[in-house]
Amino acid sequence: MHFEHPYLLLLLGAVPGFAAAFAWGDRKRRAARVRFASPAAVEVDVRWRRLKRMCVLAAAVSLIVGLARPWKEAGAPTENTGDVVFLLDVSRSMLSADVPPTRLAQAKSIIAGLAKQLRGERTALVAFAGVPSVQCPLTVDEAFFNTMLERASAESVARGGTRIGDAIQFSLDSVFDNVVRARKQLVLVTDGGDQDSLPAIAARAALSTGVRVLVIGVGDEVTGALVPTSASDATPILYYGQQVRTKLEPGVLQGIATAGAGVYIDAAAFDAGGIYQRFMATAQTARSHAGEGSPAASWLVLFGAALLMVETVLSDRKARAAALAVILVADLSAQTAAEWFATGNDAYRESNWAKAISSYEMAARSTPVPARTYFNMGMAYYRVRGYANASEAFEKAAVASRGTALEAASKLGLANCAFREAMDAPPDEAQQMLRRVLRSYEELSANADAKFNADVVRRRLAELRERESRAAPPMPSAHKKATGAHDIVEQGGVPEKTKAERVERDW
Amino acid sequence: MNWFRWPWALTAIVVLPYLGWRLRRFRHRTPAILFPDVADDGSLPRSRREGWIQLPNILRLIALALLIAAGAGPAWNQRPSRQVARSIGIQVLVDRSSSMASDDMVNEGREQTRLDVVKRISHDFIFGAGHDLRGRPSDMIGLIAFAADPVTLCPLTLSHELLQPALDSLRAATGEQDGTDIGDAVALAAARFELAEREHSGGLKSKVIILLTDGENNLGARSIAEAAELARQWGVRVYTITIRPSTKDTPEEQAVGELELLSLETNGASRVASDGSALRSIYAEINRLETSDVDVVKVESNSRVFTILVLAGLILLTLEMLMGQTWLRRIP
Repeated sequence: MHFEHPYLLLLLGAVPGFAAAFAWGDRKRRAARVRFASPAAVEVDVRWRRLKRMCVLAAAVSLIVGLARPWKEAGAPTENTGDVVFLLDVSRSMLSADVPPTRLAQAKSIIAGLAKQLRGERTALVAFAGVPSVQCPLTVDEAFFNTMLERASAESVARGGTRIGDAIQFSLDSVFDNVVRARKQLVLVTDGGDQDSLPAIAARAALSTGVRVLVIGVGDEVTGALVPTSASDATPILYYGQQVRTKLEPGVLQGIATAGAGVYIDAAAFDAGGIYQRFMATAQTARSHAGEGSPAASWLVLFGAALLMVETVLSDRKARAAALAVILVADLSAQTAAEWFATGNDAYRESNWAKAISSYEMAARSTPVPARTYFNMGMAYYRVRGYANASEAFEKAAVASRGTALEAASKLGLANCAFREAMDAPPDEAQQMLRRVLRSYEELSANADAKFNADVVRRRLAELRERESRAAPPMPSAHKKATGAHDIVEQGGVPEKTKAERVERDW
Repeated sequence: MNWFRWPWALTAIVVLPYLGWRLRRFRHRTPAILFPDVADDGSLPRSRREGWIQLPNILRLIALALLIAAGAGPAWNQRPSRQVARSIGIQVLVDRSSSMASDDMVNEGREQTRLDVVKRISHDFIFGAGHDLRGRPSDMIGLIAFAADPVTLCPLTLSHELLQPALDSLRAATGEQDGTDIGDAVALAAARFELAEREHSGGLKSKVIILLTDGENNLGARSIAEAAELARQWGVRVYTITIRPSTKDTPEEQAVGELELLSLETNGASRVASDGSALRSIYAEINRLETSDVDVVKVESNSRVFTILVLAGLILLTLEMLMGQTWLRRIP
């Protein structure tokens, strides 16, 4: 198993991040649920929800693996098969005689020399100047190729100029065919002087279709030569009364070769056998080597998409009938009230408030209700800031435990809930509520925690009164106040803690 | 051009509207949390966040569409690639002597020049037309025209698109170019095969010459018999097709006899075509006799488009997931 883009597998590292985000979001949801509604009313099936989350995670894994594109090693194309397209510059500058006899003649002999070296490759010849023209299509007929090579001249093409990029692009589009070969190469023989046809871009396009570009430069790069009028007329051509001198431009040609992942060879250092051996016989083009993209990538992506679709359709809501059934079954199941109570306590110890609350609710539903059920339920609600539910539970606890030590604790809890609610209330109501809370605490003055909390409330009241007495407080923002409340709760958190400890100790 | 490798996978798109409907319907039959009536009132102000609540669903649907497109194997701008096992080599030899310009051959209900009919039906043979001529895409085909001299117009090649202009350029010979040099033409075609074979050591499955002529060998260095000997020696099969419209009153029995001998010697076949449909059925017969291996044609999916699509889908999915867990988290 290989991958076309193995580095993309690193994205798999994000999948645990996905899982963490889900876990975080679901924890928040659960807390909100418990805060807003009694657990019995919540209609979420945890198992289905888990299944939905797993679907997304599995889809992510599947998509990422697909993205890396697994491929299997294809059977390599027959060894020693190849296509070579020779691209011969027949522009007028190729008639210059700085290399004897002319650049064109030298270029032709270079091509003939290379063609002779070939071992079973198909060859094609394209002459180009301002436009390209196929002299010989890809063929096994070497004799025909050589004939056409000999005949190639400036007259082989319809328009003068040197548009190398166009010629490369043309060769890719119309000369190379779509037959699978071990290697495909383009040999460009030119003296440069390209006229803005973007040869490097064309060479890059060649590379991306699996064609390697070799560039052979002919001509003298130091002195250059004057361009003659035509093959038969050696007098220099005049351009606006000026003679035209051309030099070989190795820099540009080097650039083309680099873009096409090939090499640049100066004709002066030309050795057909060596070049064939070193650059052409062993050249492996990227595409032919890469094997075939297996359909596995597509399957993985489709599988991922299917998982996402299933996830979309799945509902994690309990069907009402099913929910009732679950409750009934749960009631009939061996769990007695005492066991529910114990389960709740275990959950409480693990800070699993939601589970604790639902267990206590189950315990409260059966008879006889264990003594501390309501009190513990109130504590659990208090921990998740469900103060309304908490005070309800504490009230029941107080009634149930009349005359015992637990009654005081329940009343303290009730007062604490009231305090919290007062802290969240708007300031004008808050004063009144706080006064009521203060009264409750004072009634419980036997308890050290209650005493402490009473002090906190008194301080808070004084603070509020002082703020009121200050000339027209300009609409103190509720938010600000809430922060203040939190500060106090930090200090007033003592009773809460002691109570928690007591609960723990009692169990 | 195929846009997708597996276009059937796109049918999955039809599920998306259903999913969209499913996702939009976020009012369930039974609410997850029962609120007191006061809160249930529609008069409560709506927050800006509430306006965005459908965003994750929309992202999910777009992501799914992108992923389905990627899964279908996007293949635009991809050339199909062919695995050509072993080609048959076919050299088509067309007589372009002045007699081929005679306007007496019936094809498709009207009289055309013999050369035009030959060009037209040879084109159909190479590129395919109708159910009896399916084209010869995996064969190396060359084109040689001959009058006084044989001229190679196109060497043996799989790039058949270049045969088209070569066929088009065929004109009947005039003046001193005129003649019918069958012997040299057959010998040249056979020699081209032989040279290519030597160079590429047995790359061709079989070697076939299709000779289309209306005349008698009357020029050139080699006789038909000599050419037949060469072809036989090099294992080249020659099919001869004599063009002889029925209106023609001078039967050239001797020429037909020579061509028959040529095809017999080389294990080929000899036929006479009197009109276009006859020529067509002869070509169909050759088509059946010379069965080429079926190419394996493959279209690779466009790797870059695939990567972009899947990556975009993943990014949208991540956004959807993050929003759904944080800012646009919905309860329960």
